[in-house]
Amino acid sequence: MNNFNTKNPFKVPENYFINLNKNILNNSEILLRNSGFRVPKNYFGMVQEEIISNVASNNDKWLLKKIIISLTGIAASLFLFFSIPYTKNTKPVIETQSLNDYLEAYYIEDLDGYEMISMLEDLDGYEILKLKDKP
Amino acid sequence: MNKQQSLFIDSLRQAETKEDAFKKLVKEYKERLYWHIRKLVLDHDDANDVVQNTFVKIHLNINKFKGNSTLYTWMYRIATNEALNFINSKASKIGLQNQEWIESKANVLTSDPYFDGDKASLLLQRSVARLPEKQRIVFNMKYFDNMKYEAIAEILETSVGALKASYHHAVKKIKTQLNE
Repeated sequence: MNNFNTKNPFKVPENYFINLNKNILNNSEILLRNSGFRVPKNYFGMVQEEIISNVASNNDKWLLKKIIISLTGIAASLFLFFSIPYTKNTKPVIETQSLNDYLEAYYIEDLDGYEMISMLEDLDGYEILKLKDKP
Repeated sequence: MNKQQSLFIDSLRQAETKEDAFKKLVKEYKERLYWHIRKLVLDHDDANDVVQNTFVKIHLNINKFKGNSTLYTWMYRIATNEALNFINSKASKIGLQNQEWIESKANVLTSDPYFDGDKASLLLQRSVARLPEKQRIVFNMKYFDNMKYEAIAEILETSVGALKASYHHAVKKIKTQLNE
């Protein structure tokens, strides 16, 4: 190290390189600590099986939801198609309203917002994250 | 996409190899995705819910993966979207903005059994929670995960320049808050 100082006009504070070493090590530890977050004991060991079984049951659940939504859509279309030509103007409005109420009561209300968003994304193709460029 | 990844994606798509390949995928990426999500939603139980949904989405959509990015990038993007959708859903249910919900989570970290950070960590988390959404994501990925700008840009589909600006603004705001 002394060889570097023969014609070097620059100086550093006393013990700078000893402290620098400590600082670098401390900073590395901070990065590795995940900033205080912890997980339950053996979480990553147990979550593997949980994810696999969850994926299997969700596949069935999502398939069922898709079928229900598709069938209710078809049923609503058929209902309107057959009922409109044979009824007076006011009646289909009431019946359509009651069909909507039925759909909301039995299907839509069971789903929370998170599930709805997830389901719509799945039906329409997964939309990737779109964030504005400006900070 | 390299040949090894291409073969692995094929095995994820084929019915006879899908199950084993998916187990490998979960084993390889669960921890990394969990920590990415955890730093966005803060709470362990919430992170667990989101990581489960992330893998469900990956499993359901693997056939739609076009190979324009690496599998890792694609999964990170799904995890980010899932975390943001989760926050949005939870916040709107109780009539809060996303940022307000995150701030409320950061304010109760002291009583979280799965948070044992010191005072400095707690203050840092509270400051990060006060950042706008995009800056918060960028700060987490850059500061805590030490990811390269190029990798973050690919995941968030934005430019390196915009990310550098976001990170710079985030650091400046955090410094100001910590000095208050």
